[in-house]
Amino acid sequence: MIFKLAKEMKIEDLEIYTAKSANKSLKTFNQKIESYKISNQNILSIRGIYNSKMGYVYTEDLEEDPQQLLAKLIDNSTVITNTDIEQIFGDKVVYKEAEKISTQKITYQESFDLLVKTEKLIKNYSDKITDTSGSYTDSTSAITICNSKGLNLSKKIRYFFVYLSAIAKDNNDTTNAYEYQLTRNFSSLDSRKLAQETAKNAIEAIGAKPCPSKKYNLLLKNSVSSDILDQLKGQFYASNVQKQMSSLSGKLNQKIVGEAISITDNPFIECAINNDPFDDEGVPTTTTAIIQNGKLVNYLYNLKSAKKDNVKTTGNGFKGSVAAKVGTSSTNIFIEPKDSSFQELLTTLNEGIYITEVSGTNSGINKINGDFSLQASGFLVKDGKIGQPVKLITIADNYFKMLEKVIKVGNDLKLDYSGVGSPSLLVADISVSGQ
Amino acid sequence: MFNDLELKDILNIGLSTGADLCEIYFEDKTKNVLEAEGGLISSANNAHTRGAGVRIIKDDFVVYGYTNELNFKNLTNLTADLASSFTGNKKTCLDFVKENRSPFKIIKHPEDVSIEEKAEIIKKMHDYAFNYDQCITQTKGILLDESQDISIVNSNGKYVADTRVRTRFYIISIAKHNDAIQTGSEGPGGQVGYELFDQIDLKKVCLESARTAKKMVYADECPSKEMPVIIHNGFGGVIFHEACGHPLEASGVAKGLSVFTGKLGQQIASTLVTAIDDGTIENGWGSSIFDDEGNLPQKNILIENGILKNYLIDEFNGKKMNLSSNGACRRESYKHLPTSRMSNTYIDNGESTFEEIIQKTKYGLFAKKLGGGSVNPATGDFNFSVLEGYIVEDGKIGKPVKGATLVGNGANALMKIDMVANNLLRAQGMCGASSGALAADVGQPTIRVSKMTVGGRGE
Repeated sequence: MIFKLAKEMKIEDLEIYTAKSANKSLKTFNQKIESYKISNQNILSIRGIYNSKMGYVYTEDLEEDPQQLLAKLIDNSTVITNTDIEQIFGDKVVYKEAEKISTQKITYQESFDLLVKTEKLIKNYSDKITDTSGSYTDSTSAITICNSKGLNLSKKIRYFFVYLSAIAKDNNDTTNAYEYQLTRNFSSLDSRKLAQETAKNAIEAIGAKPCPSKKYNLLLKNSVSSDILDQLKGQFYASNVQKQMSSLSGKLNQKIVGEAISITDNPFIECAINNDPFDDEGVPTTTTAIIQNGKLVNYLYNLKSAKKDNVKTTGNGFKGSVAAKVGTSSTNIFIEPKDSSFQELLTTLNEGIYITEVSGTNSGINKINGDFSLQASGFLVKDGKIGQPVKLITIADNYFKMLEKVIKVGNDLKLDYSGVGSPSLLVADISVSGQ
Repeated sequence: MFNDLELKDILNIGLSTGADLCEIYFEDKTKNVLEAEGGLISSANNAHTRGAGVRIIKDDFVVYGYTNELNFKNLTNLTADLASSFTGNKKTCLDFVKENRSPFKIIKHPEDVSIEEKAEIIKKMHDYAFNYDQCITQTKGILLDESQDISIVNSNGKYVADTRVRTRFYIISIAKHNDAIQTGSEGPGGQVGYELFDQIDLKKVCLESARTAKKMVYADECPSKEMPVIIHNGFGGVIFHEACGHPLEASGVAKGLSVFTGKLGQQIASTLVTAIDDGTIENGWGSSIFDDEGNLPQKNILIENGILKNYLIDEFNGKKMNLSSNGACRRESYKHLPTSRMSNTYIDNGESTFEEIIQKTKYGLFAKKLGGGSVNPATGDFNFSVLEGYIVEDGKIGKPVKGATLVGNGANALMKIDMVANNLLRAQGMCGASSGALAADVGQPTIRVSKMTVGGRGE
């Protein structure tokens, strides 16, 4: 078997990662089926330590000759010049129990009906809604990790994802809006709420225009704040800090943002997408406080970066994709909510802009220094009330400087589909460019 | 892997419930990635992607299935499962003969280059960039190559194959000055093997990334207001890609969701603008010998002197529009349902010179390097980030500015292009959309947009 072969080829330790997945998805447009997609996949990713260096190989051809695969792995390991110490995990530890996965069988018709029903609700919201579309995904995967140190783990994940969008037209103005829900249980998909939010957002944005350029106080909707955090969560990864690819190098135990801000990585939030008893190195995951009342208290680690800093891994050794090497990734990472209701935030803001959407986060945020300048839209706020919609403006600052200027933190924490979350935030004095 | 009889069997199963078309797409791809920080290689990965995707179309309903378990039984079952989505009378597939066209010529195939040689290249990248200036504190290098074999067979008698070999590198330089951290990056590549490094000057490219980082680390924050914007050649073409290219894709146009639906023959851009999507450029980053449904890529003039001439059309969406495919159907891999996409898209040369454009600008932003951006295809609203910018004052390039993003509306911005230079340059990018991440060239000569919203945080 492959472990024996590896030993013969002088591979010191070997780890086999397999993922077997099955997906079903469909797309509708104006209440008609547009596409239906099914798939099944079974992949193999191998890593191993040869001459103290880690080599990787990935294949979707399960009949590929093991000897050839291991030869490629060895080849890859020989060019590594980075001197960080690599390890394969074999500690005998107790893992938390994984969340039970849904075994409910959902038929094509049920998922199609769900989308059509939701689209109908959107369409009926207003005559101004001209087009609606929906998509649905039911995804199941089974992952196993076993290695030459005796580790033998497996887990199953199943999720349902529904995405709705609507286009509204009035006179010459076109708007569009979308909402999604990601859940581990089909029955918790809430078409009424999805429809209501999607339609409302599309209609309310009609007539939006840029506002004058100056500094404003902003109320960032929870999803906006998490969209920005999503791009910058890598700043908290020890691997980036060690490579000087994070602006948080050397800032451990310093106050880096306002006291109202605490950021946590928690793999055990019920029903959240990234609940995981162990990471892709087989290490048990843990809840990690990253920022506590404004102070940076920890980075996120995998085995390699932890060894380098001489600390214990936080169990954040995840692959970026099944084909990629083990890197670092947060699980469910979020800004801790506080007491303020949304209404309170709005009243406190009194005058400014309520930002409901940012676009181009992938390119408008510098992932190394935290600077951002983003296309945004939302509503002007006057006397604590939501008013004229605005669009095609930019909001710009440095993320950590902005978090120093947080006035109030909301109580409406929402996790997005990649497990990044935030409550709504009230922030002061942000550069806005419009007219 | 499957003989003609087996292929025919599968296609016939796909047609057993009355579908118009059944297609099988096979892919076998090897990708190698080397990564280094500070010149030290931290990872080397070899990924072998291999599988098949089956597409069945009836009227305007498409079903797609994929698997990497490539045996006759599994593929037959998958196809039968897909076909059960339709009801109708059985059809039969036409005979097919494999159409042979040579793939682009590759001189130094990645397979023939040793991993040690590759490691040598990535080490050099660091040395060049790091030694540029003492403000450069770190570099990241990525070297990747891939070789993708595809074949497509369909029930209309089409049977084609293509091989796409691509090599590319990225160099990111990080500069520090007091508290400021800035980056500069370059990422040239081509549908070539390691002859890439005979065609481009590695040192020059790496120094360029370091130069940008240094320039930006000493730059002021960009002011935020509306102003004329001069967008430089090369990667500046991402503006056209986002603001106009995506909305010209048939996938959106056919559904009436694009601002350009029904506008063929009408003026949609300034008369100075002629724009082209050319999937035939030899060894072009976004070129192919066959597109991903087996049609021949074309040089499509999308806009001629401001008039909309053509969309980017695949067969499925073309049918809804009563237009035939113009070879613009693409997909990242067998895991993606293919659709209309760009290949190598650029604004053609105009008559001004770069110097003229600068001289004729009283005040504005010179966006020398752009990063990525995004567009909302329904509204045409777009954004993209400026990686290296300068304030132009009284016809001269002045102080460098950092942190700017440009926002606007595609249809508006196209009409506001008031100068086009004659220095066309193409640059390589990765374009993400519904059928995956694809290699796509963007390009343009230097252009000026008379008014755009510039978002920074300076005064």
